[in-house]
Amino acid sequence: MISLTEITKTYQLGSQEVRALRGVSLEIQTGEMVAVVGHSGSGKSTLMHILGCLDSPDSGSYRLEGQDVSGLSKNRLAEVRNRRIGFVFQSFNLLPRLTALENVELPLLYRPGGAESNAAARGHARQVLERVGLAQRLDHRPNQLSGGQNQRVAIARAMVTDPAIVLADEPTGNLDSATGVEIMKLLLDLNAEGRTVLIVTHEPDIAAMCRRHIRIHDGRVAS
Amino acid sequence: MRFVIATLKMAVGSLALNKLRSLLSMLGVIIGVGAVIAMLSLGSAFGDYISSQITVLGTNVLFVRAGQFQHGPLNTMQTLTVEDCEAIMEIPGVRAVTPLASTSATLKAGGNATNTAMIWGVAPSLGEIQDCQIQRGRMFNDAEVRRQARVAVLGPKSAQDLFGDAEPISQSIRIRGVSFEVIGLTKAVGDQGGFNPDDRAIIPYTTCMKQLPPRRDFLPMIMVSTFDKADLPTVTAGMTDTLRHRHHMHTQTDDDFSIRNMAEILDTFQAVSLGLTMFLGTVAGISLIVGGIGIMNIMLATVAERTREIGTRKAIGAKERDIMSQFLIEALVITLGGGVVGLALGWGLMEVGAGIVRRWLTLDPTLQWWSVALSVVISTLVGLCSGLYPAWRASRLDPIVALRCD
Repeated sequence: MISLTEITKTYQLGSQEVRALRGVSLEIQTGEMVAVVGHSGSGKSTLMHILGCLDSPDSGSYRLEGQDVSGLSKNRLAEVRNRRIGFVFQSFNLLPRLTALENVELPLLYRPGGAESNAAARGHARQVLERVGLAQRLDHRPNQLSGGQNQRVAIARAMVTDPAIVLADEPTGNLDSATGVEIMKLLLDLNAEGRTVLIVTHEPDIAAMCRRHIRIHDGRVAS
Repeated sequence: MRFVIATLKMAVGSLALNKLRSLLSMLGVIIGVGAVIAMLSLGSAFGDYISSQITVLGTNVLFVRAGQFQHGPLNTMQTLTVEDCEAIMEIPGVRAVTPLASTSATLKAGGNATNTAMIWGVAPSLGEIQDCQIQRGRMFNDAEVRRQARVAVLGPKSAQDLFGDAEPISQSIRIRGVSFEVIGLTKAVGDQGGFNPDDRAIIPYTTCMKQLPPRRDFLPMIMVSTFDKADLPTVTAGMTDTLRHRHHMHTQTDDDFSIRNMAEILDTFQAVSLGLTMFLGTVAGISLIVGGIGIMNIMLATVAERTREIGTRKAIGAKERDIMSQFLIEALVITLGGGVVGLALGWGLMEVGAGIVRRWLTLDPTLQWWSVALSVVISTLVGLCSGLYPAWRASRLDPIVALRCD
């Protein structure tokens, strides 16, 4: 499913070189639920960016569902993100002027060719929102929803393209613990359906809900 | 297409959210497009007016009117005579002279009547002064003038009103109870705005003066043409001398006539028209540039404000060209919105401008389809020019950096 081999990434931060990743190799199988943990500055964010195809590694190879994506152009990477990866962010990153339904529909708009019709896209987005329990909130804007509800919308947006992996970056970081647990349950449900879920977190009890842990330390996989 | 419609909807939504800001950023385009529309419509109306005046009135034409403009109503002086015409004919440079005993009246034939039509009592030399070509029949001749023949040459509109499609030539018409034989028909030249040569009866000036009530011995006007435009000043001076001498006027008294130079009047109009065009053109150019810069500024601010949105969009699969087109569409919505309002403003300006000059001449400007098309083109160009750089900047944002931004 996911196969990283000797991934390195170095940043130029001002005059300083930051060797964020120093040869990361790991395998993640389809249907795994993985927590990526590590201190801030350990390189876990950089790893997430590369796993999410937001960034390309300096060296090493990244195979996603058998395809080498490490050398793809920006446009091809955008397609990969659109089709195979669903993002969930700490601060939800919903567009404030759009309703829940429109937010969920958004990734379908960027589908090359726009194969789906308007009505089909809308219907699909509605279905996904119903699945995360927001059937009554379709026309609400983010500022009319609670944090937990917003994160549900964000999860619906991540699922609407039916991606192979869901990447969640501190998905419970902005939520109280009870709501955080609800969101984790939703992510566990997704995993139970056979979807691969990666969660970056520094909260031990959230990490504890994942079967596998990948600990990043100083740009390497520690365990 | 779906993307474009969704983006349009979002662009309109975000503009509606910041109504004042949107309006202010549109202002430059509104004024610019308004000025362009007003300039083009008024300019073309001026041009039409001037060229029609040139064809209808002739270029090297002088009008001598009895009385002075500033001394009460015109034509109260009774000093201009047919003999004055003969004297003017002797002045070097004069090509043709005709008395112009004009009045207006209803023409009647059988049961039909025209609206009030112009009656021009002239000499056959009118044809050498003004473009009034005969379509059918003939102009009257000097012999007919001498014997005060009751003959008339009709304009096509008057003929149509009186006789419909029937042949007007040799028919009889009545003007103020006096009957005339129609001997000719002039070519259609169209309404000149307040002066329609097609709705006119041309009759011998002698007949007009002696047979049509009120009968009189003096002329209200004389029309003179010169061989060359360059002759106009000398002929004007010559006529002034001749007429003052003939009217036995002392050096201190004002002229009891006034001479108007058609070419001069038209030149003035042309200069006014050019000045107006240049003024509006400058306003348009400056405000379009300033407006474009304003929109670029707003777009840059929007891009900065929405960095995280751009990062999010990129994360969920937006390509550089998707982001680029999104912000270009937003810029275009602003400028096209401004263009539409500007079009309305230009229309208003055009009407106001025409209203102001209507004190001197009849302008009938219309909003032409090409000026509507032009305002769309200008707005689109301003939108593209000012939106391109901000949109490019937005599209090039690194998604990681953009996502990290608050």
